[in-house]
Amino acid sequence: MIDLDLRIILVAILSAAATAAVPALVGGGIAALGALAAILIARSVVSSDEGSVTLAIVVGGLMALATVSHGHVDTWGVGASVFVGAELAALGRRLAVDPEAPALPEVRITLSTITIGLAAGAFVALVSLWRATPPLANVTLVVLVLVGGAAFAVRYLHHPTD
Amino acid sequence: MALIAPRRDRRAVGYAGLAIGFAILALLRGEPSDLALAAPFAVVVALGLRQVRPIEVSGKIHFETVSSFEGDEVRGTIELIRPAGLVATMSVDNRPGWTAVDPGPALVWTLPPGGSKVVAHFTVRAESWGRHRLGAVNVSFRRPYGLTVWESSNDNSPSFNVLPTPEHVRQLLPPPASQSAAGVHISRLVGEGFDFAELRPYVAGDRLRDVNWRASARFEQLQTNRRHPDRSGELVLLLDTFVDGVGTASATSQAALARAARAAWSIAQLHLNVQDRVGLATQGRVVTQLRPRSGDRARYELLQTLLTVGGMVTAGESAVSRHRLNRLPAGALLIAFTPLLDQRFAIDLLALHRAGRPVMAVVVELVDLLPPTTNQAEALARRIFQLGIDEWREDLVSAGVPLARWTGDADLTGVLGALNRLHRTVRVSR
Repeated sequence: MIDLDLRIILVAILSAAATAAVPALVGGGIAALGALAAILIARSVVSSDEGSVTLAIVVGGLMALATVSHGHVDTWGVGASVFVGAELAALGRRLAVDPEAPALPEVRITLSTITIGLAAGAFVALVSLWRATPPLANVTLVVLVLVGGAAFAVRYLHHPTD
Repeated sequence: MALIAPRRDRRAVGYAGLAIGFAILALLRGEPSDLALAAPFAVVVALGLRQVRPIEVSGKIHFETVSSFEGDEVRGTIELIRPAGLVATMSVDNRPGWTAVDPGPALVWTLPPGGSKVVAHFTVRAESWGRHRLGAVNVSFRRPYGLTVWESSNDNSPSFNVLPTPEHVRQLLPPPASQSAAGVHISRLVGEGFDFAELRPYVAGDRLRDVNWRASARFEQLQTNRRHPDRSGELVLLLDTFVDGVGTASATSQAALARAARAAWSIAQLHLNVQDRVGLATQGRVVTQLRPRSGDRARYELLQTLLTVGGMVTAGESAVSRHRLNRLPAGALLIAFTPLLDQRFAIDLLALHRAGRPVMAVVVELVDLLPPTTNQAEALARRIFQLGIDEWREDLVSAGVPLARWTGDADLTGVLGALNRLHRTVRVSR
């Protein structure tokens, strides 16, 4: 448990609200999953527990999968909720390490990351709705996955981490 | 210079899992729009894992002052050389003996990414005497948009000395056997000095200034004063380092030891200033013996030993062992400082006393150091604890060991005065 100050509590509430907001609008079982993910996200900030973050992201992923049947917009909204909530939680954990550190640079980094991530998602969504056909998308995906996997493998083979 | 390997942020695993999972979902469903779910996570992972190489870091801790007194503030700096562009979070683990003042209540800094060399200033308050070190310095580096963290911990900081605050003491204790070096204690011998010893009839060769004119008038015969020569004494301070617990000593135990050390150091300084020979013996968790010496070298050795003992006990770095106290110099006055937390020290004192060694005991009171009791069970336990101390103290008194009780805020002069009187009484009664 860390020493809580006002800004940590505020960030914990914000991250939980961001995670649960769209699932709550969708309603039903999705809202329940959203509440669970929000609790896990807030817990990761308050207790500075990194393990809760992974679990919250996994729950968020399952929630997005469960929303697929509700249509594109709901699914994108739920995915964006999980993403924003996880980034805000990461901000909270960073601020909790040093209560005296200025918060503004960290807030700026987090907002930039959220903006870049959401912009990428919006761009892909727009392209997919406008021009993409399933065969083209599948080929692109396979290529991207192969290239990405190869890049990771090369990097981690050269510089193995933990 | 240390090479630090990175580790992944926990988000990296979750984000990569979701990016891959949603991509597979899009493949399976043949829905390109599902890729929009993967995109935010994939972008952050790609941005965050672009730098996963080990980094080189070096650091240095510097104290402005190496020695200070209890309660003083000690300033210092931590210099860190790291690759530019990394945000660093640095923290120092708390250790007994000091508390963080600036930054407070813990030594933690967040250092912005600009520049490769950064200097963090800190101020700590020296709480207890001894040789202390800062705790382990933990450093964590990350890039502003990174999902990798470089973490390192180093527990090899330099030490700083905290000297015990000298108590206000004026009373010199009389060592039982005087030495040949000149000092301020009165010898039992008669010779050149300042203190009157006896009158005797004038003999040829006596100095005129030694003639006591009043006595000569009374006896109708010339009488001369004879004086005691001034001689130095030999003193061994016996410090009880038995503490409660098997690991780190409790705060109360540490405070009692610090109190005893302060008293010991004050008395040592006083006697060293008048050319007495002062030694030190500790018995308990830390065992050490310093032969009685005089002069600046003795002062330095004594202080170094006290600091080492204090630091070791505070850090819980020693083990209980016994030492043969009968090797202490035979003619030296032994002044023991003890809170009587452990019966073994009282037994040692009794053994010394029965062996004919001149022993005095200053029992350091703990009552004001103990936290207040919160319930009846604690109050009962406290009474039993106090009864144990009282019993050992009574054993010493009934055996004839001159003993005085001392609380930290009381004047040490009064305690030593009482010991002085007791010492004389015991010697007369033999």
